[in-house]
Amino acid sequence: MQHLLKRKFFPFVIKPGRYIGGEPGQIIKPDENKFKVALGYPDLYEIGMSNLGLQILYNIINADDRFICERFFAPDRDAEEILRRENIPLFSLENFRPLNQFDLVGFSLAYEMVYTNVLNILNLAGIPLKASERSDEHPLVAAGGPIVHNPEPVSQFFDFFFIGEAEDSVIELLEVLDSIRHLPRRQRLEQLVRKLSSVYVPQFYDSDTHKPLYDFVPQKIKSARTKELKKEYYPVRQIVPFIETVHDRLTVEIMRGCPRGCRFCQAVSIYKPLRVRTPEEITNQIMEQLALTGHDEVSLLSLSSSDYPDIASLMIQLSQNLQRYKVALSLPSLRPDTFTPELADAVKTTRKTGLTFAPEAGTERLREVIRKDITEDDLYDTIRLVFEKGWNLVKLYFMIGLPTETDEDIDGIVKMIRNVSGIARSIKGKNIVNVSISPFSPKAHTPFQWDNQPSPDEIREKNDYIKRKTRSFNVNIKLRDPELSFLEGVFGRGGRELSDVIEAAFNLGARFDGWTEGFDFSLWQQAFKQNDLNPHDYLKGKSFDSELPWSFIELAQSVDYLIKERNRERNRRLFEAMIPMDSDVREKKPPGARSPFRPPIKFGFDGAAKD
Amino acid sequence: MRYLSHLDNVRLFERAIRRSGLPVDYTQGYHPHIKISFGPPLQLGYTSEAEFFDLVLERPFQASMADRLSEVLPDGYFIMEARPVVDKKASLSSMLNRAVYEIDLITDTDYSKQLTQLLSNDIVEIERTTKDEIRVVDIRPAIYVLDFRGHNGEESESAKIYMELGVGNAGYARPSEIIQAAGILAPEDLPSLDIHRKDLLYINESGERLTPMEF
Repeated sequence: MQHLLKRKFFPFVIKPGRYIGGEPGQIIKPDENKFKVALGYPDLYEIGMSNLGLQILYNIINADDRFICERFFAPDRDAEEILRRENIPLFSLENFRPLNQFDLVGFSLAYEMVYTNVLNILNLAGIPLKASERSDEHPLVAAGGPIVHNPEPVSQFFDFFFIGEAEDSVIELLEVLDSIRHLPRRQRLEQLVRKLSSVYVPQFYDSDTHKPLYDFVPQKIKSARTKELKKEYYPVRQIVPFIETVHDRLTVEIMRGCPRGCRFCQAVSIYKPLRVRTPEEITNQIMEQLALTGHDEVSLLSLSSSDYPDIASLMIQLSQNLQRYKVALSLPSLRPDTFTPELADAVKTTRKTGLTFAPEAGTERLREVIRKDITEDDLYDTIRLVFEKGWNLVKLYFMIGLPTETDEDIDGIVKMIRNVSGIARSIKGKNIVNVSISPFSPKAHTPFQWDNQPSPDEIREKNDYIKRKTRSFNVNIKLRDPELSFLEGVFGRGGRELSDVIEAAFNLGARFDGWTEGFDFSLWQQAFKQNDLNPHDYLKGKSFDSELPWSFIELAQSVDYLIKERNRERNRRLFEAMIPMDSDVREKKPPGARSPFRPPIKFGFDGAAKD
Repeated sequence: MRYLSHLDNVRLFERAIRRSGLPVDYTQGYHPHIKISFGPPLQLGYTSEAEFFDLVLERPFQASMADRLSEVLPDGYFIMEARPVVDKKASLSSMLNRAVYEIDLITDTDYSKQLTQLLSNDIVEIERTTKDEIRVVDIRPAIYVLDFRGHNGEESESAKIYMELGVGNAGYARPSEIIQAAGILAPEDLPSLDIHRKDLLYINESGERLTPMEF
């Protein structure tokens, strides 16, 4: 195989570095009769290798002598063409082993728009696309990752899903499969379901009613949680890519989960409870990893690093430590209220790559509805400080099309952009403001899962308005492709019937749909048409009692909680709108309403809230 | 090394140097970089046994340093030789002006004639694609030696072409350009060639051939 690749493949692809493996930190095990797992991320190497989750699982599996874990990624189009022309099966990077020679092929799915890449990978590996078409000789094909919390749109393609965080269970799962390797597929899947409560096997459910077909099949699937972020879960040596990846630095997880409750955010719902690593553990891991990888930049990973207990002192201590080794600490996206002058001074020697703030909505009212408690004054003060302390780039994130949004909210975004641009100009230096505006798409398991998603046309109208109004502000506005968010919404909330659409789009040539240059909406329109489905049907709001495709997956919070969360600020605002401005009733809050802005939440290292 | 670009290789060495813990010097400023400078870039797809870099140390050179670095380099890379340089005047890339290549061919054809023919031309024009334009360049001044080292009478299908070509600012030619200009391979087959850099030299005014270990 290696010889074949050297003659026919590596010399002819645009970036051979994506396919050669061999990086420092890679683990190669002798090819014995061990249980073999191919673990992959269905996007380019540069994207996939920036994913810490993949490296964590790679490390856990390979740390166990009984198993072999090797990596694969999506080949770019030029590579695909050569693989097809030369009849080379898609292979793993470690041993150039064709994927169909593994016992298990696992995909990490972080984003809806990689689905056609999954099909392409299976197809290039000679594995039938649909689980029902595979025989005992084919590997089991599985998926995990955040978006499998609505697995239905891709349910036909996978033998099983692992729902939730896998660190605590992955070895148990492999032990089960290893011990019954010789059994027919169906029995292997049955044993998995019997042993693990977070394994979902779509073919064990009625395709119309989603009722379990056998008595050993659970009605509900529990999303798994990793109890503790154990030190040994993290790679001893992170793999150091040869080619430049999107996050070309050492990434260290400091906390999992988010103490905030932004109502549009799926990660908030999925990653509960909050788990916090101690500063000692984080510092030790960073120093150890730096010595083993040779990286010159470190970034701290979490959903909301600002909420890490005493983030400032961690950053200050780290940056002093790292400076001695000429290593830069890149600042995570921060909440305005945590960016203090002390922190700014302490980290001012680090690489000033720009700071990111995400107010998400343009008015205080809408920020309350989505529960994003950032005040404009805080934001402006912080941005002023950022520019004064020598940073030259500020990034702002907004969402449009959020539930209850009115023209006033859009004007609010324009106003905020104008104010920030004014601050940028008023302070010495070549200060740059980048603004990213993305359309809202409701996510499964969030309080907004029942909400309406605006159509691409409505989004385009809002985009055009914002563009027109901000033209003179001297900021860079980046607008996300409305069609892309449209499809994200469709697949985020769709059901089983969408498998056929995805397969049709793949057959029409759709690949790398998440990439602006790869995305061809017309292929998807054709694919929907071929299956007599109207994608616009998926945008509509849903009633609370409607059957949601993902309702069989159980998370920490109940549906009642989600409903209450969804309605909380919205109802209060409706109540207020019904009362005349000058009424003194307005001062009184309706029962159950909370003060709009809560003081910053403080957490201890045990993840529990503190006063 | 073969399938990585020059920039990838630079990054690879910088990271290996950090892993080795060698006492290297850094540039000043907010973005400190290791003070390292490489010789002429090696094309993606080539192999080599003659790559050079200058590395500025904070402490005196010790022979063991080369081994320390070799130990942390990825498979396929090692330090062949290291020596201290004091009072460096010019950079490697500005000094080195000659590259020696060997190209492996699997063929039973004798290409001596094509190479002699090419050498007899006063002008060898080829098309070079840069970022967004195609330029016609005469590479004849950068061609010094072309030698077909054929089958040595053996019943073998493997042959070698030996080349000495200009490198660096004074004018350069690439082995693949020669192979194409001589009509040995079609453009689409060029990537499959096994091209190996044997040496990088500085040829001084009096014609002395010096390796970076000697000047």
